[in-house]
Amino acid sequence: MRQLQRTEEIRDSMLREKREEAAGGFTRREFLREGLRAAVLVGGLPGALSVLGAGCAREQSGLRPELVRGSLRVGLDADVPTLDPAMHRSRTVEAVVRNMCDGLVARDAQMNYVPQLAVSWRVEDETRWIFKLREGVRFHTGEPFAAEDVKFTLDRIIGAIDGLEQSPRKSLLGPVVGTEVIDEHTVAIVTEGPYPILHKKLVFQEVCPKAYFERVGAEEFGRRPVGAGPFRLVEWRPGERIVLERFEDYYGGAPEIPPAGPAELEGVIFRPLEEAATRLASLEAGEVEVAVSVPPDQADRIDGLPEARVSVAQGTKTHFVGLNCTRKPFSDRRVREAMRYAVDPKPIMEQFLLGRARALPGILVPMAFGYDSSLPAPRQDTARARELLREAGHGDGLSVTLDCEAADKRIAEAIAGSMQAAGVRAEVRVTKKDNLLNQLRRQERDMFLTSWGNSSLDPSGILPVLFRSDGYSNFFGYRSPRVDRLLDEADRAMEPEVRRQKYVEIQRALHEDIPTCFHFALEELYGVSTRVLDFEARPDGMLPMHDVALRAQV
Amino acid sequence: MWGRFVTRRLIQLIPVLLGVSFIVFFTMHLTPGDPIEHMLGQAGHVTQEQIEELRGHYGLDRPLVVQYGLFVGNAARGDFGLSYSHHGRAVASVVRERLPATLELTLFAFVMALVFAIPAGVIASLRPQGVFDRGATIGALLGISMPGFWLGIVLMIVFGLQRNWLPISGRIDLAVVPPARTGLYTLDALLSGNGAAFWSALKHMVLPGLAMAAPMAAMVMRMVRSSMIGVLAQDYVQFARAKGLPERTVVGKHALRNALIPTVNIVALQTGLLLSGNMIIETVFQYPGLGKLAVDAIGAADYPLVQAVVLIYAVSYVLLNVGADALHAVLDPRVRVA
Amino acid sequence: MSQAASEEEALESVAATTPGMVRLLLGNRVAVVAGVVVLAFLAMGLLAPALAPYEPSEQHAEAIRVAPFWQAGGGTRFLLGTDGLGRDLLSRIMYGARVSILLGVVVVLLTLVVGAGLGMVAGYFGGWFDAVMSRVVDTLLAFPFLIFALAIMAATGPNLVALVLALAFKGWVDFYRVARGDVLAAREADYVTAARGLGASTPHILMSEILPNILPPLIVLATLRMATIIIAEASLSFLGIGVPPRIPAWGTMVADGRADVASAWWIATLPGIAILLLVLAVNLFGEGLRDALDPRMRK
Repeated sequence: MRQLQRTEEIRDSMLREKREEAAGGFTRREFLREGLRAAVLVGGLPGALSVLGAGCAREQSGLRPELVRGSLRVGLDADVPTLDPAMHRSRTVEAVVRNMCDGLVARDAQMNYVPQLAVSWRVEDETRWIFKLREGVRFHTGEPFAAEDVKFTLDRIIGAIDGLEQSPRKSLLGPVVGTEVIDEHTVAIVTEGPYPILHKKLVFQEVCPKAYFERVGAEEFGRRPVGAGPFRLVEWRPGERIVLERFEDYYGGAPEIPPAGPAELEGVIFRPLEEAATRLASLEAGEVEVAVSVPPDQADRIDGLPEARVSVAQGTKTHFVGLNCTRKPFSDRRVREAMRYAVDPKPIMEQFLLGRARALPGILVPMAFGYDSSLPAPRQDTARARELLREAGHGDGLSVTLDCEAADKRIAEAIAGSMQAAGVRAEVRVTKKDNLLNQLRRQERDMFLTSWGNSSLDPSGILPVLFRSDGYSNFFGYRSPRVDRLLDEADRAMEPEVRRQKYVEIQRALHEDIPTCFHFALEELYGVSTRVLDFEARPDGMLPMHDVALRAQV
Repeated sequence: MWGRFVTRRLIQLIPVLLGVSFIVFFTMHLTPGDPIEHMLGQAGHVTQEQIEELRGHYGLDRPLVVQYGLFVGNAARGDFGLSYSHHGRAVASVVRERLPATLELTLFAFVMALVFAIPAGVIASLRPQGVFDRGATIGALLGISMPGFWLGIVLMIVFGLQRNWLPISGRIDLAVVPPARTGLYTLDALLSGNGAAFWSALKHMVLPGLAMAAPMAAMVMRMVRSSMIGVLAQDYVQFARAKGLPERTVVGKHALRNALIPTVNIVALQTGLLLSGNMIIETVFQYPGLGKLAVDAIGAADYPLVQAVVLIYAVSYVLLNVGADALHAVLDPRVRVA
Repeated sequence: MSQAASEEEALESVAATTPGMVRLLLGNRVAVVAGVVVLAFLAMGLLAPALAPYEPSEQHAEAIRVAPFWQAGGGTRFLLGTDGLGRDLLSRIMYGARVSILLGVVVVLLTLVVGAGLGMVAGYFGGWFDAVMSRVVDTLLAFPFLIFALAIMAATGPNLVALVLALAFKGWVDFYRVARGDVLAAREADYVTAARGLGASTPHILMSEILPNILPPLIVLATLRMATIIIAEASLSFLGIGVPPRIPAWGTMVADGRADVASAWWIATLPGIAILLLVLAVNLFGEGLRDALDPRMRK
């Protein structure tokens, strides 16, 4: 409450300043009018404009022309609702915020884990990790980074601070129950039970400065966040642009990801361009230098342009067709197996997605920890599918609805088209993404095309939430005591080899039970101007701009 | 007399706005879809307790009638509550951010429509069934019959993609420093003498502006034309001609002024339609204005935001009509008597 | 001036008889051509299963984004080319005519009946009903139609019943106003007074005496409204919340082609031309109809 008041005081004083400025501007306006008249008489319109320019120079926004010229411009595929690192579950927000706010741990381009604001860590006992923090790091406000900030950041996410809204990122920290400040540059993170992947999970949390947050309050922090990252926020016009400029006092970032030191670029400007067509047109027109998520069918064309190329990374998100195991017709395993053989992956991967996707045997992508490469590759077998359907009492074919969100409509229609050969008449129904997710969580849909991202590349980021009996996104009503037990065992196994074995067993169980079929992963495709140096697409969809450079415009 | 005329019309506005708010409030709240679920989206594990807490935070736990009463009372003071889809920010501030963009584009389309329509209507009326008249009539028919979203896409393909002449998205080039004062970029650029920014902002409005202006230009052109034809046949115009006044004066001074009187109302009506068209056009061109905000808010079941935007549209529609009637009264004293 | 008046009178007397109206309409070449185009679209929609070269949802994985025949890469197999899923655009456009025309007709009839009915009652009886209705009408006029339709459709998801209701929500107001105004004028007309004097019942007067006299302007309005409805339906389908995706609709097709505008312009453009042609023809026909049925309304 007191905090709120303080925020309002600050806002009031800012308003006062603005008003005073406006009042001072009155006489200036009169001066301008006279000057303008004279200038028009003498020098015509250009002269008049320059007089106006001189008069108003002081009132321009904080954007320096050099900054805007020397900035890399990025076309994003989604709008950004907040810039608060703790208050979103959006990859786009994370990609933007990561440039402003560093975390304890980061990943390099090959997805190796490296210390960032931490220097090192060790596991003291199964439920207690000690992190040594980097010294001499400053936030954009000039205040030093210290253990209190780490504690504040993590406490806010796990909901240990009263009076703040619950962070939607809590579940990303799993069983973390608290943080202790040991000294100014050492913290201990305490978990409930063993949590072998804590350091991997810390990649998704950026450190926020406690003092600044308490000064401005949660709402203002979401609009003007401060961090210890390579860029700092200059201006955010929602729906239009987010302008970042180089933070000159940057400590240099993770030493394992050279080069160190402040960023090369003057700044970065992010612009939401949700429509793929507009995003690509802006890239072609030179209005942005990087366009996020190029549709597969546009990739070759963009790559063929003289002024741009396509940068490719293996995706970490799996698309799949989910089947509701709790009710007819898919409560019958034979019908689910028929679905496995109903779709022909080849034309869909090669023709519709132009080879920019690959069909997978299961829900995990090959890069993921514990991926089981022994499962058979998906293929179509219409005779087998028809036979299975006949056995299950659907001799004259099966009519079902295939639900999906708007973005997946085309692929869903391709899948439905492919199923016809196996006697499956699937009708595609498009629902708003959020509505669909809720319907799926209530297990109200029979067959659906959806996707689940797992940029942690650890099975714990995707298997429990989808396939545990009490999994929050168990869309399938899938219940297997054995899988539940294996998931628990994997969670507690501090030994990587043991964990790997557990996850392999789980994948085989899922292959046997078929709650999902027709898995595939799309490539991450980025359209990149040839002016951009050292930008490469990453599997996790992050856009770290620290090491990127921009060739001057010709 | 005038004041009373306007006051009376403004008082009539109140029941209309109550009606609009009533309809929008109850349709939004009675249709399926829980805003809290939307808000939580992919948020991971959430307990029932947290859901109830959020419900309380946004006042959704009270009886619907009470919610409506609060909504009307607060809205009258300009407080539209908190936006669900904007991280709990005040709706009023979210709307304020987007309003200038829409205002600027709408004004631009409005001016563009009139700049095309009035001269075209006048020229066409001078020689009914002449070449220009036929051309303009066909153009007008096309203008009314084209779906706006399609025209937008075609303009985009032809002028933005096949020839890289005009920008197809956004409000201003990212490489131009936008001055920040009124939020209307062209005006701000002029005020600060930033020629490059002015030019860039103007260029960004051409394609969406054209797509928005087309149907209005068509309707206004037809109205001007037919009303000019009527006026030109009037005795006093013939008399002016007979007096030997130059045709320019006859048309420009005597006829046009009278011909524009009936046009005022259709301009107001069409401007109202212009506003409702901006949702589609802003979506097509990714223009960060109120229309796109509304489409996004509806998708996110953001009741407070949708309610506010609907009310803004309704108020501007009613005010436009009051303004048109007032203007009509100025131009044509007979209206006031009647 | 006097010449114009007499011409108008002459027109009116000709139009007073039904054969006269038809003759007038047939004399208007533009209207005739427009009517033929509308009929052609109607036939195309009705006969689509017989005429269309392919099933509208049939996918050809080997023929994705094929250009129309006049473009390089196009051919006779798919005359108007294919979309991003290899579906034949010509067949889809033919099938698309069905839903556009069907919805147009259903919505216009619904709004005509509701609007004209309420308008006649309000105009004939006046009183509190008229007063209440005029408030309702004022409110609806100020109501931004598209947002409302969007809100309903977003909540219910794409389905035809909700779509009809969303489109009809405000559409009846125009009919209401015309019917009310005309009835108000007709109430005191000689033929009505005479019928009343002869002891005719109120329903009889409304349906048998007044309705035939106020019908022509309503029919003209209905035709012109149909054009608006077709565009509104296409707009909602374009935003993905109109016609369900399994039914081929022109607005959906334009939206499907949006992602391909840079590489395959025809996918978004051609269905839009179909909308344009149909709406243009409906508008021209409506204007011809107005000239024939109701000379007073001519500008």
